[in-house]
Amino acid sequence: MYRYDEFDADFVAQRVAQFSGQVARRLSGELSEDEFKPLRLMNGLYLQLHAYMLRVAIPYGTLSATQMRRLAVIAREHDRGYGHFTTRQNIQFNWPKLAEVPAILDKLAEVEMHAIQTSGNCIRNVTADQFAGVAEDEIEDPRITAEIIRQWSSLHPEFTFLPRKFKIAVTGAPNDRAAVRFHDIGLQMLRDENGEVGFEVWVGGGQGRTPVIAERIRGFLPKRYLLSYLDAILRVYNMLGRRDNLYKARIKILVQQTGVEEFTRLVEEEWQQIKDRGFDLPEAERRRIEAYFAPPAYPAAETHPAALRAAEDSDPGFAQWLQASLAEHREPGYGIVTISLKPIGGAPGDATAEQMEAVADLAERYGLGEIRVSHEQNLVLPDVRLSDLHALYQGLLDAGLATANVGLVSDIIACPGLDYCNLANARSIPVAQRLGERFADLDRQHEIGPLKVKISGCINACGHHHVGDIGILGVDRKGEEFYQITLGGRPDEQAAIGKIIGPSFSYDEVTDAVDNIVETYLGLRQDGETFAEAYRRVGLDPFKEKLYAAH
Amino acid sequence: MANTRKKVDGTPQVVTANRLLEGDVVYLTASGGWTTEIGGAVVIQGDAAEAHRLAEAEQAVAERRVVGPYLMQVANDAEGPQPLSQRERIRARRGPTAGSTVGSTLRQAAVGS
Repeated sequence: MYRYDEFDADFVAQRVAQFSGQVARRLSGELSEDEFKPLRLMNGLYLQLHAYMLRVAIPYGTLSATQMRRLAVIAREHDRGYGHFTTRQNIQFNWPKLAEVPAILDKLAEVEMHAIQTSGNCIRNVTADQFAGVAEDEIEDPRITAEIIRQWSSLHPEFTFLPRKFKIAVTGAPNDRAAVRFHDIGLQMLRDENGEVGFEVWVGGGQGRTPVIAERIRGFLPKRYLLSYLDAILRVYNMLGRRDNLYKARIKILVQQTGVEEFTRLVEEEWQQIKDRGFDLPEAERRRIEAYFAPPAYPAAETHPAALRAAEDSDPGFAQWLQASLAEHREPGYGIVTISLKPIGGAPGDATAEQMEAVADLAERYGLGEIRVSHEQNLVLPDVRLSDLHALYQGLLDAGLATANVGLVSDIIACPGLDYCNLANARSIPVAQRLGERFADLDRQHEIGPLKVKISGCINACGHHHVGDIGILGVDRKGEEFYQITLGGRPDEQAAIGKIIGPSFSYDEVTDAVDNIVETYLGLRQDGETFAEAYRRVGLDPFKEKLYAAH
Repeated sequence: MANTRKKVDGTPQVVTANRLLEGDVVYLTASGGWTTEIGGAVVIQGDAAEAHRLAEAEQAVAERRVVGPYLMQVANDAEGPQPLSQRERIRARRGPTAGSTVGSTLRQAAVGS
């Protein structure tokens, strides 16, 4: 894992001291709310429906057990005993008091964490594949790139007044688990014909009110040119991006309006002017950062432990959990475990302080002390010996964290929605809870197979509804909640934006509507076909016909 | 600055805001104080009352008691003022409709109580 150097530590300490002073001046009246608001947002502090909300950055979703324990302390001492993991691999605390926020930031800084770049028109916390460094299909650990971008972007003077927020995602694998085509910039690692590792560069993707799949503006960018090329993109955006209309200010609109060819030409032209003028990271510095992510020395582990097979045979709950939660690790004898934060009837992404501590303990006992947060609002233990899986499962059961639904219909992404968020039009969490309860039977969920349901409480699409197999968007109709359903979205390398199936459903109707869609799928699927595959074969019409025949 | 949301003429209203220190949802009372209970809010009708109460709210902003005050529409019957929109109904609950219950349920499950 990356560890702060002197510069990082000093920078974060300075920001905590500055914000402490700003809070004090706000409380004494030296700063008005209008003056204070941009300052608090630069430090991740929002004012939501019921209270302040502090969004804490988890760079590329990687946490140590120590950091997770500190999040638990904050949840317990400054919140109501829980936190909410988000679709940007961050965590939100929903109930901090303004005067206590400096103390929270102090506690975060002690474990090399902060809330910078989680709000405002800056380059936001860089996200990455949650299986980074351990995935079997990976070319290179994307966190090296993500960390370089973090350091480059945090104090870059040109990025303090961007037209709008800017999100970058990196994946080191051909199977895209980081949704890079739905980011302002998406970087996908690949090898060229000579075996050199570089990036495919995607620009102008995003969700929100105008969902757009990013355009590929460069097929191969050598790694050494990462920062100069990103700089060139940001320079073009900063020069030409609109600042007169909030809804047209994202780079996706610029790329669409300029046209991808012209946009690419502008970027390449800018890049040619700066590419060999010291914008890129010296190789020695790159190697220094890379060393933090060097694979650990894995102790030898049994590749086919007899005890694992025996536990699978004797404990059907474990076998079911294993099927849902375990992914292939690049190291023989190890596995990657996804911990579902979607208990049946629970709030997606929420974890209590006790659960955070339990995960930290289990990460140390059965892993190498590292934890990941996925953009699907689950946690990941990246390095678990196969022979420890049953013991880990029992530990997760004790903590209420062993729901065997990862990747299944109740593993729902949901934004906080109208229960917490000032921007929302409708609730998301209770819709997810009702769906979870409707599909509570895990045998049925496994029978249905992989299915991604994603719920957003407003058009800003924090719940990624545009890229769900089944997407649900909350809308306000004369003060009441309604839900529009889309089908066929995909966040991965086969990126697709879901299509609206028809008129929206009331809060009380939406669970039945989703159930109807799932039943239609079960009725028409062919051997082994997933929902996404079946949808691709048959399209929207059979689902629409059944859905509206019933209403 | 008070954020005055669109209103329908003649619809009763109350002034709502968030406390500066905690962010709690609060409502302006008849005596110029602030309460977390919507039932204790002063119901406003007419332009003069509106202007008067918003001025009081701005004074509270200046005194750093609340932030972001605005007028919100209510139904006003024997039970007192009731929010008309779902957003305001949820604000008036002082917490989420489901999330907090789940949090505490999970917490109990986790500690085995």
